[in-house]
Amino acid sequence: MARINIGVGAEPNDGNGDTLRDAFVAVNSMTTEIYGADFVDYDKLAGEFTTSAAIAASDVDFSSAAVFTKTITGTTTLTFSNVETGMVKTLVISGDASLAMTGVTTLNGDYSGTASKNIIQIVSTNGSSEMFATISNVA
Amino acid sequence: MKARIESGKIIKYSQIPNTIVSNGKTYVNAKRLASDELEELGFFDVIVPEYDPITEVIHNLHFDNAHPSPTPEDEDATREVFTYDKKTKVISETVAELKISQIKALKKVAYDKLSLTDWYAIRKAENGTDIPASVVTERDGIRNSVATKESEINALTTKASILKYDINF
Repeated sequence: MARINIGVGAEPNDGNGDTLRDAFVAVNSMTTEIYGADFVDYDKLAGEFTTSAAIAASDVDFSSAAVFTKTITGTTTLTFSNVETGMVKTLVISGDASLAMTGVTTLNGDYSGTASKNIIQIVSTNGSSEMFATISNVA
Repeated sequence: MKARIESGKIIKYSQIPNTIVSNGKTYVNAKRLASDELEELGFFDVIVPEYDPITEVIHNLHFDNAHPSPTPEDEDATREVFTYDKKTKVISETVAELKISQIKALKKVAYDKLSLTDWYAIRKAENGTDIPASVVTERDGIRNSVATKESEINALTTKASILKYDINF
């Protein structure tokens, strides 16, 4: 539906504006559309933007969750699939072992094996060929 | 210590960096990588060959892909390491100059030892108070040691033997 312009006349009380009822009918019809099927709220976001999932093996599927968790006990190599430009994913990793992230070209921050959690945010700037990561530690 | 070839140069690491970027991967907490995993990333031990630091110097750190590394099971075993070559140190001083230098150092050792009891000798000179016999014996021993060692240094004929001579007593 196109936007409805509410007539307000040329100057106050000139009698050329819409009636109050007509004006609010127009407002209602427009807010009905805004809050209708196309209205985006948290409930309508797909799971890839709202859910947390444990990394079962080594693949981090960008299309499956927003937050990924894993405890590492030995050297672990993560791969990333379904990476799309502009996507940001959060990894919550713990464990005093080495973690390799395939395709991550630039890293800011240090992983701490003694931290209770390492929060790693990964953003793709060019599909899977260019990903940047930042690490924060939770004591 | 380990080293790795980076951009054509051998870079030594006293400890493994926390983050390593290699082969399209970023490794974090890399200090927890096992030796074989580090070797896959190009990090190999730096082996310093046994050498005499008085007469030899080490130089030319290089990669050795078959460094002897015998094990109980295999005496001929080798492994990949970074190591140095060693060569004879060039000593510019003459034998006579080295002797003078060693004797000077020897006398400094004796001076320091005698200084501890010099006050007995000063008191004797100023007040006439006798120096305890044990102190006299000790000071005589120091001077005798210097005389003996000075003779031994003068009898040496090679630069290496002079440099290796222990002046301490």
